[in-house]
Amino acid sequence: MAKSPSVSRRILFLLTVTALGLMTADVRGFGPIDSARSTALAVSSPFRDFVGTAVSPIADTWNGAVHYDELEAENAQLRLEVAQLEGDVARLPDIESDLDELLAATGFDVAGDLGRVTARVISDRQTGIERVIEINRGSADGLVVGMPVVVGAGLAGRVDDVFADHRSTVLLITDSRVRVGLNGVDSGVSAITTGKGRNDQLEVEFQAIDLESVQGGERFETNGFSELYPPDIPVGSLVVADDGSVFLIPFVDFDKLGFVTIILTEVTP
Amino acid sequence: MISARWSHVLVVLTAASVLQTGIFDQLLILDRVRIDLLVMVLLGVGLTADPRSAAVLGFFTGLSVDFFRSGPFGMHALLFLFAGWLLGMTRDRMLLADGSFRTVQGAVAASSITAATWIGAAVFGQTPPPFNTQTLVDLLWIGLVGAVLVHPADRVAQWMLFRRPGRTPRTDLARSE
Repeated sequence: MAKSPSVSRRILFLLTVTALGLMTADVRGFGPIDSARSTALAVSSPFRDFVGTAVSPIADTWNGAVHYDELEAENAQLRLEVAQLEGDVARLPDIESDLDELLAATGFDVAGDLGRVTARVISDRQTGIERVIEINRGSADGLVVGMPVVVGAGLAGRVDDVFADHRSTVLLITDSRVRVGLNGVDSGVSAITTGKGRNDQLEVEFQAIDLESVQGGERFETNGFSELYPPDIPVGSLVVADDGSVFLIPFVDFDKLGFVTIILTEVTP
Repeated sequence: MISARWSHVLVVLTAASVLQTGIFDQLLILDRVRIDLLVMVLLGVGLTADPRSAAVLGFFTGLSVDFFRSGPFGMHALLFLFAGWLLGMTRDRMLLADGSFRTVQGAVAASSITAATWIGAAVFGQTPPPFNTQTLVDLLWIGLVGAVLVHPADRVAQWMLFRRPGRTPRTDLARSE
């Protein structure tokens, strides 16, 4: 049956007006249109999910076939990233250890207003007769031979040699060449400690004759008599052995020297 | 009143929308070209029905697209309405087209509908693909897809439009409503 052209035009006109009306309403934020779209998405969602899941192997195969080169490159890149991440994870304990040491080295809270420089221990060489600690600070950082070197726990040693703008060596208090004047915190007894070349003990030479007030476990700090060491820097605790001999156990753990702080005292070079 | 034919339309549009959003939106040819089932439905309808029926079905096909795509609601309905009508006009002039010419028709129509959609999107404030050589290549690929899928789209359109395949087309679809 032939159709009237005017009917076709009328339908075309009506549908055009309808479409334009819908667009205008949508642009003006007409709520029911948004609701209709949301409902359509919500209702079709389970079906779309089902279809997507059912054909995902086909889709994966298609994408794999079409993008094989890209997948290979992406795979290689991901392997590289995984390797890097594994490396980072493996380094995490070292980083945490460094952080702990840095916090310990910079957590020192005595020596008043004196300036200080934090340095990283870049080498730790132990020979049969001495231990050489090298740090990454030097003359350009204001270091001078003799300046005390501390960590959070207490006195670690002194600057031994400043041989470059950013290189120095440190002599630990356990070295037999280092002598430090001390005071007992409880008894007030003065003493001089000397390294014995071993990390775990310091020789103590008391200056007083009456030692009855000295007890094992007493804390000893620098007495400040020397220009090298400011007062009140913790050094070690006293140990009285069964045979009556006495020595100091240093507070500093010399096996964990990652970072140190140099106190910028007024030392004559 | 919905006749059996309209229920077929509903089934086809619903299935095409679900398949499009569930599968074909994720499948890209050359990383750029997407097979658009609803454009294929429009293609089949436009090349099978008379202009008025093609326009009406194009409108509802576009409306189906509007539910699942961004842009002003009704934009695709408007574009598909005129695309269907124009395709229907073409069909009226090429009733004797053989299979090979049908293939060419499908290719040209698919590219044209897609290009018209892009232009329409630009007119209505959307962001169409930039006009460059790559876009022209994309349109060629879309044409190729249209050429391949025009025959199945014809079958689907016949199922939507005719009570039995092979029978004389009922071209008074709009009047039957």
